[in-house]
Amino acid sequence: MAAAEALEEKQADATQAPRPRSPRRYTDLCGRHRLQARVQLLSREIGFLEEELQSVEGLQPVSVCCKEVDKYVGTTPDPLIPTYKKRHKSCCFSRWLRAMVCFNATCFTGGCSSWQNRPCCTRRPNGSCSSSGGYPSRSCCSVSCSRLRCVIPRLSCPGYSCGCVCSCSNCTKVRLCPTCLCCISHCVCE
Amino acid sequence: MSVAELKERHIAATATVNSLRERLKQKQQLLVDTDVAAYGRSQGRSAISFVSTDLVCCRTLQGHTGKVYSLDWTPEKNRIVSASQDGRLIVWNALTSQKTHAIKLQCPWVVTCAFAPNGQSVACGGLNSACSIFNLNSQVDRDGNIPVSQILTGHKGYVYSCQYVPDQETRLITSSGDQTCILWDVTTGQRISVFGGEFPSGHTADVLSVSINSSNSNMFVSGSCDTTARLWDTRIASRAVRTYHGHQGEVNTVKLFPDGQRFGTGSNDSTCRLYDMRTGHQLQVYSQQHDGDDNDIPTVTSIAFSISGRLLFAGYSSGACYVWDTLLAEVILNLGELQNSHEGCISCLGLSSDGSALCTGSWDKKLKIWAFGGQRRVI
Repeated sequence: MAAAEALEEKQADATQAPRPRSPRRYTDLCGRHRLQARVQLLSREIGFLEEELQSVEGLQPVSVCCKEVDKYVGTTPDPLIPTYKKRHKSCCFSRWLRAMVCFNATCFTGGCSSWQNRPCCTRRPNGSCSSSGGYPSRSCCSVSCSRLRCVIPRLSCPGYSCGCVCSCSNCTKVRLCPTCLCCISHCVCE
Repeated sequence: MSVAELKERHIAATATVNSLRERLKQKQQLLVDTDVAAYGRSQGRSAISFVSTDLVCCRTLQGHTGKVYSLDWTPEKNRIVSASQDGRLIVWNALTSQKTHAIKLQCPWVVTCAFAPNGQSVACGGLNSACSIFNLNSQVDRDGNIPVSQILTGHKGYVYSCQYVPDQETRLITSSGDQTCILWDVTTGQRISVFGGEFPSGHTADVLSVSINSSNSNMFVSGSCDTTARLWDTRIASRAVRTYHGHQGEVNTVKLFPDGQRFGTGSNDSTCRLYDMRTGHQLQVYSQQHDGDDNDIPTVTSIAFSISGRLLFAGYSSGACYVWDTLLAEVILNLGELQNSHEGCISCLGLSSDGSALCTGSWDKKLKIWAFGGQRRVI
């Protein structure tokens, strides 16, 4: 019985993986180098922080910075902010002149905005053109797609804004009208 | 040195860094004697009064078929480039609303775009980890597309932001998910300098935004998911000049203040902040109470200052676009509530070079241009 048990034990030992007497030491080179790099980084950071601590000694308080901001903002004109100007009796001509100049130029000191006066062109659903701001319709909405024809914009091309959608001859390729460059994501076939 | 000794040194160094940071914070706190709004009130500043018709939407630019992610104005000539989820860049004439170019991108996952100072080229970047350059005067190819003229590769993460160095057609700065910013030579496609990364001290998370100082183009500011903003000198890539703390969430957007001495930030913590570049002081927090629970707090996606700095435009993920009076820290208008406003998140905004118009871009696929529509009264 004892011999059988001994034999069983020996066989069990044989099937188990060999176990070393003491754990093998693996040199974790990758981890050590990484740790060393981190320590170096922290040493650098300590140096930077010590420099910064010294520099704080001579810094001005926040109120001085606030005063600088207040002064800068207060003395810089801004076209997006309502302003008030004194009216001078003799400036009627200069106001008229400014209004004429403002129609075509970007200005804000004169009290007008080129964004409001710029002519705007729109194409109606029936294909005709309308314009605002005194801009001639024929100049506004004239488009010519060389070798391609322009069609009335439809729901299938909602991305247009120029009013010109170009159709492709065989519906396999999308072409852009060279004049109006509509942004279409698919071919419009006619 | 053994690993155990290194570990001990690491623990000691970490404790020293934390202690120094705390001391620095306390010393800086002693210098905080006011903020911009308190100072303004003490000087008798009165709030700007805007009625809803003072700022009006005077143009709607339609054409994108996906969310608008980014826009940029030319320094002159009133043109805008926009980038969209539809994988296209569109160049618009902002005055006439006409599209002058529509560029279909090879990689449709674009999130940022920029105009070159001379208005002849545009740059874009996105999830392909590269920045592509297009010359708008190039001959189009057989498919009617403008071919790419340069691809700037080198980032190991998404390109979130790009900006040309003012008055330098050949220099561009990008920021990336690889935690770095890079200064590029656009002509050669080479990296000139890398700011941050594993060894030089820099951001410790994705860098989402950059803004270059037009008064001193050697300096730029970056904003990151690590909740800080950092100031960099392009001549010294080895370390950030200064780090600005304060935000409790990712810094999505940074923008230089018009005087070139301060800058603003916008964050996931729903606040905008104004910092002084030289001293590191946080000068003002712009924070608004929002309705809804804490999970619905809108994030600040984009900011811009008016030309005087008196107005701070801030776009939010809720679709709001607050106009802040920077000197009194009050909201004076919400463009999101005006007639003809956007119907979705405001993802980007920018001011024209002359300060007369603001352009906003949105997830509703449109861009809108806002200008002063009120009367300037004379007395």
